[in-house]
Amino acid sequence: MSLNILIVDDSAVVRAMILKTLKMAGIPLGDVQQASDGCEGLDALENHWIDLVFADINMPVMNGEEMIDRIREQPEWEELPIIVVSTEGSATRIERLQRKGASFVHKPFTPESVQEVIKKITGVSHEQTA
Amino acid sequence: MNRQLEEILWGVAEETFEALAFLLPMPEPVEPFESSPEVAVSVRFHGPFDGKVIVTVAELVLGELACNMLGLDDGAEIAVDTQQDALKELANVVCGNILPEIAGTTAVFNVDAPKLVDASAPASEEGLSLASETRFFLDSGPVSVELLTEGPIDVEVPVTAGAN
Repeated sequence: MSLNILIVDDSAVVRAMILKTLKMAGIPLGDVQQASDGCEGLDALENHWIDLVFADINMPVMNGEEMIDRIREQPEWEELPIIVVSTEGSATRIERLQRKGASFVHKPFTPESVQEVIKKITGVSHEQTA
Repeated sequence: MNRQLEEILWGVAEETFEALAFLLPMPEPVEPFESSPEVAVSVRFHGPFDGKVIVTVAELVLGELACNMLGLDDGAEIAVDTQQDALKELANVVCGNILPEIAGTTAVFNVDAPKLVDASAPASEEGLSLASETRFFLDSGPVSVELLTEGPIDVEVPVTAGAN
């Protein structure tokens, strides 16, 4: 099974790094959409079938937490897997995001740490592609 | 306190450069490097203490940094803006990891977007003073990571912090 993913981050470099890491981790990728803020992220979700969202927190226009809130308001996206990729170090903020159903990958991340979280929340791993 | 802070800065910088850019920071240069102008990025933060982290690299380091972070071949042409964005992201990760090492994971900080700054501008103009710094070398040139704060850091630095 390949995953259609959406990467939401205001830095094009970070979006490229996440994509590079997913390829290095051997995650089977389908359609890849990118957005530079929460609003664009919601637009992408409206227009494309997405299996997994990677989201930053600090973004202009609409931040990642607000985007997650909007996503969870929609019944069809209630269970959509979301991975927050951030340097956030506050346990309180991380727990708040987790209560909204988001998983967390801490920066700097490795292909292994990303692979582990993806396997945990989607069941899709590198091994299944072999 | 200063020694602990320096160890935290060094530990976080070493881990970040290695994990994000596959570059190994070294305390001394392995080979002589060409001198080049410096590029600096600062990340402002607000929380239990306020301040900023400044990462300064030789201009020659930028290309190598961006190439590795983006997984491109050596010598690939990368736009200057993209090279600077790579340094901004690196500084963002360094800052984001230094703060909980100093103040613990219960502390909440708000971190501004990283900005390019004049590498030669004195930070004291903003009422900040140098709390600690670490300097090291990559193959292509020197790097410094500075922590500047408004007044003293009024938190207890964990004894084990920076020991990674």
